[in-house]
Amino acid sequence: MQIGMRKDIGAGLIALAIGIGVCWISLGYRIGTPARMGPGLVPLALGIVLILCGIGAAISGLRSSENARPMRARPMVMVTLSLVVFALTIERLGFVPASALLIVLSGLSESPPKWIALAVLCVVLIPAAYFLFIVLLGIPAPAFAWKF
Amino acid sequence: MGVVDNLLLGLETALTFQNLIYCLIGVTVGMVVGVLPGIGHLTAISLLLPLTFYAPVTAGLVMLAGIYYGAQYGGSIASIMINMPGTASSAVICLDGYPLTRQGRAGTALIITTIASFVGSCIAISLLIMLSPPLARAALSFHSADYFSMMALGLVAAGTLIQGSKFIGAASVTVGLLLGIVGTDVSSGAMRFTFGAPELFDGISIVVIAMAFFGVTEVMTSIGLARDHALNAKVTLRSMMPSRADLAESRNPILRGSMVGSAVGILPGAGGGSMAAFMAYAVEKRISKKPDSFGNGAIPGISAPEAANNAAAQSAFIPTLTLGIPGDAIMALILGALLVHGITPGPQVIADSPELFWGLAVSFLVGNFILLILNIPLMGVWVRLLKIPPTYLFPAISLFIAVGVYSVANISFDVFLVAGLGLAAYVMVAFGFEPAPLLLGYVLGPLIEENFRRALLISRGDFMVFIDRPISAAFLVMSVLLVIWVALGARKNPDPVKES
Repeated sequence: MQIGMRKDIGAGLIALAIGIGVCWISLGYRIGTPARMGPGLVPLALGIVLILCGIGAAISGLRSSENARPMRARPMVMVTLSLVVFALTIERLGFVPASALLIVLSGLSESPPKWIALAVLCVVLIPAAYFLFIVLLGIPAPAFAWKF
Repeated sequence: MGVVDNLLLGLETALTFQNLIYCLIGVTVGMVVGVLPGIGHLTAISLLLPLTFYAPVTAGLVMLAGIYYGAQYGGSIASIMINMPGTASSAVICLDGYPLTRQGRAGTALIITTIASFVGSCIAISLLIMLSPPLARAALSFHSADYFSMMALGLVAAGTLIQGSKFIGAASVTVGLLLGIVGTDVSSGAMRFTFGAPELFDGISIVVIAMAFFGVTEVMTSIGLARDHALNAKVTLRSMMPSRADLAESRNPILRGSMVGSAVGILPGAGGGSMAAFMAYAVEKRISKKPDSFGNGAIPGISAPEAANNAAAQSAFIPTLTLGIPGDAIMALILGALLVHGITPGPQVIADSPELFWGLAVSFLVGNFILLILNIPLMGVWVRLLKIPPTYLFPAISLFIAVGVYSVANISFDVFLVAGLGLAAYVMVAFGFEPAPLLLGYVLGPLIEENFRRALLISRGDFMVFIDRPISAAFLVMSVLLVIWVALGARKNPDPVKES
């Protein structure tokens, strides 16, 4: 599945949305005066810049017909999911199961998935990463765990 | 201290066993990622950034820098052998490098680019050694207003000197500045954009930003795509012997390319290697007596740009280490690594940590010698790396992203953050947002806000301080001129690839 959309208009809308959100939040902070600036002044100014850039990009985008680079839905979902699952499992199941889940889930971005390659990766990469990060660098994560 | 003493100190630092090992690791990793298309040096440096937090600062920087210039050597190999640039800055090498391969002269092309890389680097390193101390001394007299204006110029350059919409370029810088603001405000203690999450009180780690924008987006873009090329040519040691004619034809282009590259590399926001390589190519084509040969395997068409992109990779360190102004995203990562180690980038670095500056400068020379020595006998090995199927590459990178991000603070919150930011980054990049200016904004954001506030605090809120100080005024005038120049030229929107 691929999503097609006008590039500059879409980018302008993204900038506009972020800008409005930033301004909204910044108004909750103290703004202050130029001599004694509050924490809200700089973010508010940047939010306004972002809104102006967004409007500028969207208007100049009306003249161009260039589409955004097609986004690939399957890798978007699977890579994000693989990272989220890793974050959820690293402390609960341990380093080895979390890494294996991550490799397999991100490998599912490919269709059909190359199961043999993924198995090879799990067998070779996980011990190597375990040695580098946990043994050598001393990251306090267990190899296996069962904590819920 | 004289230059000789400084260089001796540098040699002493660079030649310690630890720094040599880190240099070797850096340049080897750089070569490998440079050769492999689909994984750029930005991705590689982002992936290895967390590892440097475990090393002393000099060793860590020696390694990161080694990846950068090592990748410049390696990038041209993929360009020459399979017509696919291993790194963005060696795209122009494809134009004449691949035709040479089809003529059966791959070996010659590889050795010429190796020599060009080495000479270009050495010329730029000499400039770094000569120019940096006086530049830093001059910058020591800068006030906070001058700093603000200088960083503003860097950001304006980063946002405008890009392909495509300048509005989106400016928006990219602004989003980066905002990402840099997240966390506790230094002057008031207020929490900004933390949404009540204590994990965000110290701000978002540079590792999370770099992995999201250069790691996750790369994986999402390239995972599961088959590489459509065939590796046909064989490279033997004998085929790499350059003829006398080839060398003679390369000499002047290499020298000119080194000059162009060194000059472009120093400019902030000029995008480093790619622009240097394109400019050097354009210069050679213009002054050549046989402009028709360009695109059909002209030796100057590979030697000048290759010298230029390596020279730019080295001279980019001049503004980074003397002024604290990074010229491109890689230099921003280097600055970020310095900040993590508690060193404030700026003109005081050379005076306060001479062993860091001189050790780094000499390690560049050492690294380039290692690359030259590694390259010639191992060329066959590098070429064979092109056969690694991408199926193995990208899940491995995903694992490196997850574990690397987790290792920074040992909290899974950061991994959630990289997943969310990475997804957002992928969508934004698809709509034309530029990750490199964004990273520049992120790194410079806190520094620029601090100097802005301090300048206005000293002037009691009078904005004239930015115009009254001549240095500050000069930087601001340059920024305004740049914006006007870009606004006038925006309609044409030149594309160097099509031009040359």
